[in-house]
Amino acid sequence: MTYLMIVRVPEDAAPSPEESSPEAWVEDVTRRGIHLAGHRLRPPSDATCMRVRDGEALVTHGPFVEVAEQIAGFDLLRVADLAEAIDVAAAHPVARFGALELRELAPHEDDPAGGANAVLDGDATYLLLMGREPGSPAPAVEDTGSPVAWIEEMATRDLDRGGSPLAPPDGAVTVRVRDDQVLLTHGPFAELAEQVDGYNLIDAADLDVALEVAAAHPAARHGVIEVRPLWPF
Amino acid sequence: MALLNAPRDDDAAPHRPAGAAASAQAASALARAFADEWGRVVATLVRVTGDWALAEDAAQDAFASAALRWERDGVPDRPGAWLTTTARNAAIDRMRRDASQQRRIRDHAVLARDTGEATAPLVDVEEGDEVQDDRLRLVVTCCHPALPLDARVALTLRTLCGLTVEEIARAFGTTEAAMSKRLVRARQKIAHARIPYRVPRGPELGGRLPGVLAVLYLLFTEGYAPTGDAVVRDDLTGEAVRLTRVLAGLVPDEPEVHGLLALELLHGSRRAARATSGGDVVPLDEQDRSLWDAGLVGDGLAALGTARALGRPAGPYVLQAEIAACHATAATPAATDTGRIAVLYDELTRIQPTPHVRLARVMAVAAADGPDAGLALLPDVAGDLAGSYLLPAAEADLERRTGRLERAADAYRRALDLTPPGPARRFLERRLGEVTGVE
Repeated sequence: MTYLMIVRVPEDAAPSPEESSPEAWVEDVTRRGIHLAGHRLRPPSDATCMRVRDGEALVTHGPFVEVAEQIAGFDLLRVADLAEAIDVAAAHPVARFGALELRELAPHEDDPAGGANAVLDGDATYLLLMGREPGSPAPAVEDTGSPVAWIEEMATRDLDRGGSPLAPPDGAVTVRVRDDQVLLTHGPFAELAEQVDGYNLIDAADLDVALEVAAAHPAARHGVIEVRPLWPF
Repeated sequence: MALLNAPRDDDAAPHRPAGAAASAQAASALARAFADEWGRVVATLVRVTGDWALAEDAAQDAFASAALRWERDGVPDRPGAWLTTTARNAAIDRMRRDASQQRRIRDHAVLARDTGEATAPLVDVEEGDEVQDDRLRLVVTCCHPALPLDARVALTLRTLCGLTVEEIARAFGTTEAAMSKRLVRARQKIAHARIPYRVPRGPELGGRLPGVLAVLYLLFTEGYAPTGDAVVRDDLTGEAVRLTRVLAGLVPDEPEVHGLLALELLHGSRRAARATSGGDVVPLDEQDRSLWDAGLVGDGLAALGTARALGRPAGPYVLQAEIAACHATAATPAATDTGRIAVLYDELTRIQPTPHVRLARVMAVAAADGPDAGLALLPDVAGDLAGSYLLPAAEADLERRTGRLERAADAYRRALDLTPPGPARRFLERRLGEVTGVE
């Protein structure tokens, strides 16, 4: 099973570098062979949102919804089951002051790669987060449009660095550790219904290219795609 | 004009070799250069260094050094080239001084070699087409839709107009610290999200222009109808007109740019008639038309002519300029071609049906066909303007024109309940006094 682990950090958190450094954690999960990828993201103030409505691309500044625990990074985990994913998340340093949201990947059924493209080789520069408009229900599958043509075009242009739709948020588990107790929240993150429906890593040269790529994705037509630059290594 | 932070020589030292006349000459050359060249210098330095903060600092250095040297050595033949070269050298000095920047200089040289682009080297900065392009690059980047709107305006004022952070903060009624933070965040987003320093080509530029024009128009309206207590802020309107002129020169084939310029000039021509010495608003039909600036009206009509000559369907700025031109060319309020204005508003409402435009159309219909025609249309726009004083204020004005003064007074009172202190409120209070016979 492959999980996207969304790392969420409270805006006012000021942990010491020792408290928040994931180095030891990354070393451990890499050694165990369960870490497919991981990226730290630039802060929400560097985010840009893309929506396409009536054929018009609408660009706005900022993340797609402001919540107390903003997305600060993500990791892709290949684990035996949800229990292992929860153990791995609870061991992450951010669990002690932030939250780790676990979302199983749910590859699109007409994806020719059948989910093998969760992460691809090569450097990525931006993460696209396919989001739902806050408060709106999940669109029907027949309304979302297939991203296959988009994936093919991105592959041809050598921009695709992997991605996947996520399983519905009802199955999400959020992991926090407080006073050495592991706290689990089932269901979508917070009541705000900030819901990520999928992600895609891309290697775009600059923001205009990233926005053009986001506008071409079918998810931009019914939801919102947040374009977040990755923190360079 | 934003000359407040132009480096000035207030030094009263007695040893001025060139004498007072040369000193005055240098000061005026510097003031002119600041207005004409600041944006150009920053734009070039951003291209050459890729660092917005460094570019602004280096431009500041260059003007400071001009303040000292032009008086002593005389004004150079080509002040712009002198300033750009001096700023470039100042940027190199600043990069050298900061040892950690050494690597960046090297990287930059490597990048220039690898990409083989003309984006490159820290040499060979000359005036010419390239520099012209730089300013367009700067304004298009400052107005990138991925930046928050307030930051776009602030960044444009800082980098293209050279207003100080303190001046921009004052213009937007915020603190210097808050404005400074906003600018830092905007520059960081440009760097971290990699907003390209590039003029999009062809249709893509067309797609970005409305955003650029919106920022310039916001700048103009903020100056012309400020949110604060003042009736007009000349510094902001002046900067908006100047930048729009620059943009019209850079993209001469875009009718909307000329349309915006025309609109700004035609509105600006009424500046002296628009307010009393006490700071109260004077409505259009009560203005002393002899105070309208005929020179600006002429310039505005010429810009509108340029837009028309491009022979494309009129966009929102061209249409608004056409409306402003109808007023500007009428010798008296009664001579205004109200029928044509109503037709122009119909067209504007079709392509830009915002609540304000729709309300303005109602008032235009009222001017052409009588206040009762306007009152009949008011309910159509009521939903969009619920809670705004504009709706009861419009109703009050129309009732006043029909002579139903009691109804007018009632509407003025409802409008006043929704109007914050400022020129608009004082105007409505005056009108209420008129219709109730109380002075």
